[in-house]
Amino acid sequence: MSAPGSLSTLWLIVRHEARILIADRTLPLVCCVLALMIGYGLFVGLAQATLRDRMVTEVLKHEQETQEKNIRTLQSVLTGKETLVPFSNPANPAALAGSLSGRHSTIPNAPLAALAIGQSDMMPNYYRITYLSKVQFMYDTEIENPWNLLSGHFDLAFVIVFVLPLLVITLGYNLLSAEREQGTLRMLCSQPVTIATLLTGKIIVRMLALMAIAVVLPLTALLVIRPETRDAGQLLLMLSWSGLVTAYTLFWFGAAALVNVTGRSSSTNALIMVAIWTLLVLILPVMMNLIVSVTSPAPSRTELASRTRAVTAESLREYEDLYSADYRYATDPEALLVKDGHIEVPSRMRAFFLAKRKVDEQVEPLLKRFDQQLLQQQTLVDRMSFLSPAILVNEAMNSISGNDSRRYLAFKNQTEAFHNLWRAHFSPKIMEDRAMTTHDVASLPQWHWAEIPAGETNWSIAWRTALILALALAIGGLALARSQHSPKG
Amino acid sequence: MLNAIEVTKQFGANRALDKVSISVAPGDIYCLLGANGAGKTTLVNLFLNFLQPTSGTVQVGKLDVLHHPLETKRLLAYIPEQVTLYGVLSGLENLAFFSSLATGDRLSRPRLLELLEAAGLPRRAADDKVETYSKGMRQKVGIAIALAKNAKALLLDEPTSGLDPSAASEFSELLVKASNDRVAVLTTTHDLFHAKQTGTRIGIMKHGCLVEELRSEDISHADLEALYLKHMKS
Amino acid sequence: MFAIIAAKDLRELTRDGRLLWAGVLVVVLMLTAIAVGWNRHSQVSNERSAGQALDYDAWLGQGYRHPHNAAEQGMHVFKPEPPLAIVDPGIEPFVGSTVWLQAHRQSELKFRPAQDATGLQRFGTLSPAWVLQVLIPLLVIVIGFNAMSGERERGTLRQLLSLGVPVRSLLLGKALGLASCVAIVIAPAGLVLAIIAVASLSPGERLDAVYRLTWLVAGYALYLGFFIFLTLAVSALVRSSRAALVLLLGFWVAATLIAPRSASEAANMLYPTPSRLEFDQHLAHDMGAAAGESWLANFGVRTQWDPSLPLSKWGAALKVDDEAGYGVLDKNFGSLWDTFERQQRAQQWIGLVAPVVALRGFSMGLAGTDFAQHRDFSTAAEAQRRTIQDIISKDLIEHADPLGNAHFTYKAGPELWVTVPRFNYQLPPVSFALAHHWPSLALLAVMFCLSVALARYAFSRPLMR
Repeated sequence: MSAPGSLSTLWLIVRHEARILIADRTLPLVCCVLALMIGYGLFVGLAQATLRDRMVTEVLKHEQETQEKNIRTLQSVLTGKETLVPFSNPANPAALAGSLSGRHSTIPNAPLAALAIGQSDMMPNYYRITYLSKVQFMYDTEIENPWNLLSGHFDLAFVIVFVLPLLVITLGYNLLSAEREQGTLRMLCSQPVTIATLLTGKIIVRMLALMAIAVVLPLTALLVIRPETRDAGQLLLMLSWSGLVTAYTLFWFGAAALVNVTGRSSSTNALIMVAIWTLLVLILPVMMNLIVSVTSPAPSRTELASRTRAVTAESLREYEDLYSADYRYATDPEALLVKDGHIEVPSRMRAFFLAKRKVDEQVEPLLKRFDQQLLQQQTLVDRMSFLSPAILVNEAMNSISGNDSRRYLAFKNQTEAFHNLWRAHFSPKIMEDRAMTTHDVASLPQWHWAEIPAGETNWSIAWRTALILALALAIGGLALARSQHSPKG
Repeated sequence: MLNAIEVTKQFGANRALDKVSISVAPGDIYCLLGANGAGKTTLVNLFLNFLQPTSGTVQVGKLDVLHHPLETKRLLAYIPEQVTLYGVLSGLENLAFFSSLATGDRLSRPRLLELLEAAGLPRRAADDKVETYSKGMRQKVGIAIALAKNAKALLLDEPTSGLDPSAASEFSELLVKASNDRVAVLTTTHDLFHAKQTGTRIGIMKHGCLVEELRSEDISHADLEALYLKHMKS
Repeated sequence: MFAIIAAKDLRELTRDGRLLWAGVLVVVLMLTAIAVGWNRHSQVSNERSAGQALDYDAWLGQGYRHPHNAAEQGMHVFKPEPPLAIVDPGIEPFVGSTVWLQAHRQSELKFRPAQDATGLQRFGTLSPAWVLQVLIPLLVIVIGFNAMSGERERGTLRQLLSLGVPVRSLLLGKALGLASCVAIVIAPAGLVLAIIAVASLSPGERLDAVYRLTWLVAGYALYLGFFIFLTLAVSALVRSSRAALVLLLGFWVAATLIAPRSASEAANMLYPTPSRLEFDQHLAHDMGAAAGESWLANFGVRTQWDPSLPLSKWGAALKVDDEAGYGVLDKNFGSLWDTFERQQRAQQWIGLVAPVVALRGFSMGLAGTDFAQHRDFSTAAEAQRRTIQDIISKDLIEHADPLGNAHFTYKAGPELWVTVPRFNYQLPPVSFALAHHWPSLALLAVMFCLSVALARYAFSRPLMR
C-alpha cells in the first residue's frame, strides 16, 4: 500500500495503544506521578525565584532610603547644624565611597528563573559596592546550609533530567517484549504492518501523554503566574525549552526502542534501560566533573590568600606615613567642618583608600586567572557534554533560567567594572580634599545591569537541542532499521 | 498459492529444513504431520516472513515473501496454536483492531458481529473481555480475523490441539468451507484422524525433510497411522 | 547448610553477566575515586599547612607598625582537610577553606570549591561514599531481584524445598551469597584505602582513622544489609521476577534519588534558612543596639564613635566595641548554625523510609566532613581572632592611648607579635563524631532489623502457590 495507507495504519495503532494503556492503568498512573513531580518542581523553583526577587527589591529599597538619608544629613552638615566624625559624614568623600553610600550592584532574575535553580542558591545576586578590595567583598556567598547544597534541589530541571527518563523507561521498557511475552506480537506481525510502524505508533502515544504534562503544564502555569514571561523573547525561550524536553524524551524512547528490537525479555530490558540511565545520568556527569576538575583545576586559593596578605603588607608599608599621621579630629572639631567646598579627609582614610586600590591592582592578575579557569572549565564541559544528554539538558535549562555560571560570571565582571568606576569617581575628590555637594550625592554613579545578549543564550540552547535531537534520531533510526529482524516470539 | 521451493533453513549447526518443496493450490487442505522439532513450525514461520530462508524461495501467490513482505501478509491469514489477544479489550474490539490493521477498512459493528457468528462465537460473548475467554473462544476470534481478511491462503498451527471433539469437528467444517471457497489451507497437526478426515493432501516431515507426500483419498486411516509410525521409528 | 546454598548462589552469580559488568564498573569507579581523591587531598593538605606556616612567619616578621594596622592585615587560617575526606568528601566542596582573621568582622570561611566549578559540580562528587550509597544498592537489586522469584519460576525452588531445607538456612544462605558478591566488589577499594590510611598517617592519627573506619564499616554494613534483606523479601513476596524488579527499582529511585532532595526541601520549609540580606540586617541591628548600650555604659555617649570621644580613649573604645560585638556575633551565628543543625536533624527522620539520608549524615560525620566539625573549626578560628583582638586592644590601651592625638604614630614590634599564639587546630576525635551521629547509627540498625524481619516473614509464608 502507498503512504496514505501506512499513515492510517499508524493512526490505528495509536488509537489502539492509547486504549490499552488507559485500560490497564499504566499511563494514567505514570502521568499522575509526573504531574505531581512537575507541579512540586515548579513550586520549588517559583519559591526560590520569589525569594531572590524580594531580596533585590529590599536591597534597592534600602539603597533608596540610604540615599535620601545621606542627602538630608549632608544638608544639615553643610548648613552647620550637625558635626559628625569623618567616618559617618556624607560630606567626606572617603566616607561616602565606603559603605555610607549604601550602593549595591544587583542582578534581577531572568523571567524564566523558576524553570531551574541552577547556581542561584550559591551565588549572590547582589554585592555591596565600596572602595574596599575586591578580595574582601567579592567572595561572599549566599547563606545556605551546605547539606542542602550537597543534596540539591527538587526543581523542575531535576524532574526533567533525572525523573522523566525513568518514567519513559517505565512506559517503554516493554514496548515489544510485553507483546512478545503475551503472544500478541505474533498475531500483529501476521498482519500487513511493520514493526517499525508498530514501534512508532506506540511511542507517539506515550510521548504525547508525557509531553502534555512535562511541557504544557509548567509553561502554562508560568505564563499565568508570571506576567513578565509574556513577551516575544521569553516565548521563544519557552519554545526552545519545549524543544529541548521533547528531544530529550525522544532520545530515551529511542533507546527503549533499540533495546526492545534486540528481542530480550521484559526483565532484561528493564535492567538494560536502568543500566543505561545510571550510566548516562548518574555516572557520566560525575565522572566528567572529576575529569574536568583534574584536567583544568582551579588555581590555588591558598596561593591567593598568601598573595593577598603579602600585597596588603606591602601596601601598609608603602602608605605607612599616612597611616601613622596625627589624628586630631576628636580634639579639634573645627577640622571636621566643610570650608569653601573643601573638607579635610583624614590621612588614615586616604591611606585606606590608596592601599585597597593598590591591593586590587596587585591581586588583579591572580583573580583574572580564576575567572579564566572557570571559563576554561565551562568550555571543556561544553565540549565533552555530547557524551551525556543529561548534561546537555541540564546546562541548557540553566541557561534558559538565567541561573548558569556564565550569567553569574558576567554579573561579577560587570560589578568589578562598576567597582573600578566607583573608585575612579571618588579618587580625585579624596586626593584633593573636595567636599561632596548635594548635587554630587544625587549624581553618584548608578549601577546598570546589562543583560547578556539573547542571541548568546538562544545559540547555546539551540546547539544543545540539535545535538540531543541528532542523537535521538540516530538511535531511533537504528532501532527502526533493525526492527525487521526483531524476533516475533 | 503457497509455494516453498527447495527451501533450506539453518540455525547455526542445526539444519531445521533441508531442501523442502511444498505446493498448496487453492482449495487444497494440506496437513503437515511430524514430531516436535521436525521443522513444521519453521516452515510456517517462513511463509509468514518471521524467518528468512538460508536458501530457496518462499512464495505466496507468485510473490516472493522476502521481497513483498506486506503484500504477501495481506494474502494470507494465520491462526496460531495459542490465539493471544488483548485481554482488556472485548472479542469484538480485538476483531475490529486486527481486521482494520489487516484490510485498512473500518468494519461496522453489524459486520463484525456477523464475522464472529460465522466463526462460531456465541453472540453474548462478543462484548466480554477476552481475558474471560476459553481457548476455543479465542481461536474463534482468530478465525473471525481470518474471515475478515478474505485471505487467499490460510496458515494454521496445531489448530485442534486442546479442543474437545465437538469443537474440533466444528473447526474442521470451517476448513472445508474455506476449501470450497478456493482458499489454500496449510495446517500443521498431530491429529492424524482429522488430517485424513478433512485434509486433501498429507505431508510427513522428519528432521527437516519432507519424507512422504500423498493424497488423503489414497490411504485409509489405519494405513496412515502405520505409515506415520514407520517414519517416526526409523 | 546455608553455606552450601551461599556457595551455589555465588557460583551462579559469578557466571552471570550482570555481576561481571556491574562489578567491574564499580571497582573502576571506586579505585578512580580513591586515586584522584588521594592525590587532591595530599596536594591540598601540603598547601594548607605550608600556607599556614608562611602566614604565621609573615605575622611575626611584619616589622614595626601600629597594632591596629597589624590587625587589619590579620592572619589567614586554613581549614585542614580530614584524612577520611577521601572516603566521603561530604560538605567540603560547599564550605569555605580559608578564613581571614581581621579586626572588627567575623568573616565566614570563604572560597567554596564549588564556586570555582561549573554547574556540573551539582551532579555530585565521585567518591567511595557515593558509590557505596547509590550504586551498590543498585547492584544488590540487579543481582538479587530474582533470588527467590527466579527459583520459583524455573521450578528449582520446588526441588529445594522437597529436600527439606529449613527456611532459615535458605534465607541466610541467599543473604550470604549476595553479601559475598558485594564484598568481592568492594574488597579491592577497601584494601587500597586501608593501605593508604595506615601508610600515610602519623601514629596518633592512625588510631583515630582506624576507629573511624571501623564505625564507617559498621554503618555501611547495616545499610547494605538492609538492601540485601529487602531485596530477598520482595523477591520472595512478589509473584513474578519482573514485578520484583520494578518494585525494587522504584524503591531505589525513590529512596536514593528523590527522598534526599525532598527531605532537604521539607526541612528548609520547617526551619527556613535566612537570606544573606536578612541575616546581615539582623546582625547590624543587634550590633548597633549592643554597641549603643555598651558605649553609653562606658563612655556616656549615645552614639558609637561620637565626635566627643577623645583619641586617648581610642584603644579602650575599640575594646568596648569588640566585646559588645562578641555576644551578638555568638548569638546570631549560633542561631544560624543551630538552624542548619535543626534542618539536618529534621531530615534524619526521613531516614526511617529512606535509609540513605541517615547513612549520609553518619558517613560524613565519621569521615570528619560534616557541618558539626566545620562549625568546630569556625569557632576555633573565631576564638583565635578574638585572642588577636584582645592582645592588640590591651597593647593599644597601654601604649597608644596615652599619646593622645599622636595615637597612630605608636608602633609595636616583634615582641608584641610573638605574644599572639600560633593557630594550632586539632581535628576533633572520633568521639566527637559519634556523639553527634549515634542516632543515625541507631536508625540504621532499626531499619536493618526491620528488613530482616520482613525477609523472615516473606520466607516463612507458603512459597509455592
